[in-house]
Amino acid sequence: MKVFLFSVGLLMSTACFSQKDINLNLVHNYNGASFSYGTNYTTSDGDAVLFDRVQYYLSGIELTHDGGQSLPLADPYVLGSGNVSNYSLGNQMVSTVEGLSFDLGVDVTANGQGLSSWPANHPLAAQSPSMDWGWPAGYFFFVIDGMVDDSGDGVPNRPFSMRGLGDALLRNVTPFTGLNNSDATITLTVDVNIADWILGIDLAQVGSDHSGSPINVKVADNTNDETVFTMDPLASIDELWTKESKIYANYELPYAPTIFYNLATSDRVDIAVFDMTGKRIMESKNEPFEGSYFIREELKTGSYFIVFSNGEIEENFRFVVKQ
Amino acid sequence: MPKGSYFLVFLILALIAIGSRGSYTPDFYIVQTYAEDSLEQAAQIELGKHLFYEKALSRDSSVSCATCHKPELAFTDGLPTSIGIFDQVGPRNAPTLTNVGNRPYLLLDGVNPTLEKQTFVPIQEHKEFDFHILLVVDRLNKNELYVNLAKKGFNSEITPYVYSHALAAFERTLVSSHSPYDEYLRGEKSALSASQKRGRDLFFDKLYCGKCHQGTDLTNDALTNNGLYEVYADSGRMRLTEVESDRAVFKVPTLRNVMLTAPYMHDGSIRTIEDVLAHYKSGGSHHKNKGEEIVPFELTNQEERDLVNFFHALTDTYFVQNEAFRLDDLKGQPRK
Ligand code: HEC
Ligand code: HEC
Repeated sequence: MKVFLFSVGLLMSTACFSQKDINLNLVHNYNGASFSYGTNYTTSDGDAVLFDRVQYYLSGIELTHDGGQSLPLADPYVLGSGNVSNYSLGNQMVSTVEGLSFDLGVDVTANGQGLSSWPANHPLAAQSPSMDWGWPAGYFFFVIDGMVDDSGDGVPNRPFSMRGLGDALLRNVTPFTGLNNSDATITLTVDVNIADWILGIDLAQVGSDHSGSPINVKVADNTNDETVFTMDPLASIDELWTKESKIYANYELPYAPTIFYNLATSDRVDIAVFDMTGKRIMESKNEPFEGSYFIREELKTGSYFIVFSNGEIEENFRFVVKQ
Repeated sequence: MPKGSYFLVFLILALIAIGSRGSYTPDFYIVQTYAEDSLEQAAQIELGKHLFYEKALSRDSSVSCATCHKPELAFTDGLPTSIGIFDQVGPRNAPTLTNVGNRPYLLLDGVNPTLEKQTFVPIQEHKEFDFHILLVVDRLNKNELYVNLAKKGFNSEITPYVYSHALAAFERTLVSSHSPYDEYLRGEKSALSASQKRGRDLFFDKLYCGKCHQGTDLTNDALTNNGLYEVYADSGRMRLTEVESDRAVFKVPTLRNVMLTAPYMHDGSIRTIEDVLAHYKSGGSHHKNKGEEIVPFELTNQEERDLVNFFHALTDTYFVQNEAFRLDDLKGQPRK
């Protein structure tokens, strides 16, 4: 009898909801302009600014669906990166998504567990460049690294690094409601305005701030106060931009850089690394068209090429390794 | 693997860790009987010991944990502040790892919660190993011995999890309980000389030292300030919490093996134990977070000798010579 009831229950639920792939599309922009690393933008004070790295955790992701039911995701973590738009929220038992909510940062429990509790490819496992800091044992809730012009010549010259640490920086991002998406594959598009995160911060004074300091509290507060995350149910600014390949080397570990890339293709790519003699040193097949590629190899000091290719594109990029 | 299973795996491993911790009573024999009890645990500890002495953890393979935590100095390095790769001088004094498994939180300001998590600190620190955990793991997976021990101990290849749990398992075996003072506490009244007994009485009863340096590890693990300076270069626990009441606040250190752990204090600024006594005799500098127990006092020459003799009674020769904490094949190999 119990089995019977259970099966009926199961049938009913599958009748109402189907399994659907849910994607999160984070459209990074700078006051509406397409965002990429190494590109000059202007701060609200009129200073030239560029970014080396913008990464942040989202946690506690929850969907509202099918008549106001809430579905907290079983694996509710996303590591957002300035050069990556497409994230999977997994295959979920929903028909129509009506709302989305998440937090900026990592929840207290996971922040206390640390990186060694997660399987290798999980957002909370060890990353390069690193998304955790050892001595206080915790994740960077966000990393905003770059350079700002403090000499007035329009050239960003002074480095800044804001990396928020500590449970106190967790922010419930104002939830998104009133959605009505019942597509076969549901894509939730959220615009992320990086300019809003740095509003009211004198970047020239920041230096290297890896802590829960007032500066990083300000970044966290700006998330809602300046509405970094917005959702326009009708259109996304993404479609206004023509896509071109963007490749950028992050030299936080000069002896093992990470290549941030975002390619002008929507197919998967093969990645290969060559030394100057043309010898292939690393290779990885069938990778996403946007992401980060860690040069996880102890290479000699020198110049190298990374090549991204599929039938449609072939992009070459030179980077250096300094031991 | 669905998310729930990560948690389950984590939970099980955490329970194993907690369970094994409970079986460590402060007695060195445990190290041996433990190994017989569980082959798995023995392999974990063995792997941890190898990693502790492994210079490949540092980017240029020049420095290991044992460079700064030398067994013969009760796992300190004898320097005011530690020196990492490329001879870079760090900002702090390396603390002893004597009975480190008993500490409720780690680092001089107690900002790090567990031994497992602490193992990632030296890897990232530019002035220690200056490296990346994934590259460390790749190096270690090329070592056949380590891969075998990881298989036996964790049924896994080497991962960040294996790295941290093996090292922590080894560190929990660094148990000292055979100093003359320990023997005395166990009822061996002749283990302390008359002078050492007088020093003991001074330390715990006549003076205020025992208010902070109390219990068998001679620490209450409190976070406080002992008035070294009016203005500290190191902000102490405030580097994490950003609150003024944590400025220049440090963990009360264990005084086990204290005669082997000079120079003293977070910055290694006090060279000898006599100078430490001179500091406390003066009542220290004024600091708003200074423990109120610390007030000036006077000592006769005899009393000072008695106190120093008592500190000698805290040296556990068995602990510093224990072969179980060393690698046989390190003999004769130059240590930096
Ligand atoms: C370059 C020298 C150096 C190296 C290498 C080093 N340490 Fe340390 N260790 C220190 C210093 C200095 C501190 C205090 C740091 C602080 O408080 O921020 C410390 C603190 C610790 C503590 C905290 C102890 C306590 O009572 O709070 C532990 C545990 C520890 N180290 C273990 C290790 C392990 C395991 C390794 C190897 C993976 C290692 N150390 C490598 C210098 C070093
Ligand atoms: C209010 C608590 C407190 C009291 C009381 C106290 N201490 Fe300390 N002691 C500390 C703290 C905190 C440190 C570490 C300070 C630092 O690193 O800057 C310390 C450090 C030391 C050290 C150095 C240990 C090392 O490995 O670096 C010695 C030795 C010591 N105390 C001896 C004494 C003696 C002797 C007395 C009594 C006269 C005493 N302490 C009273 C808190 C206290």
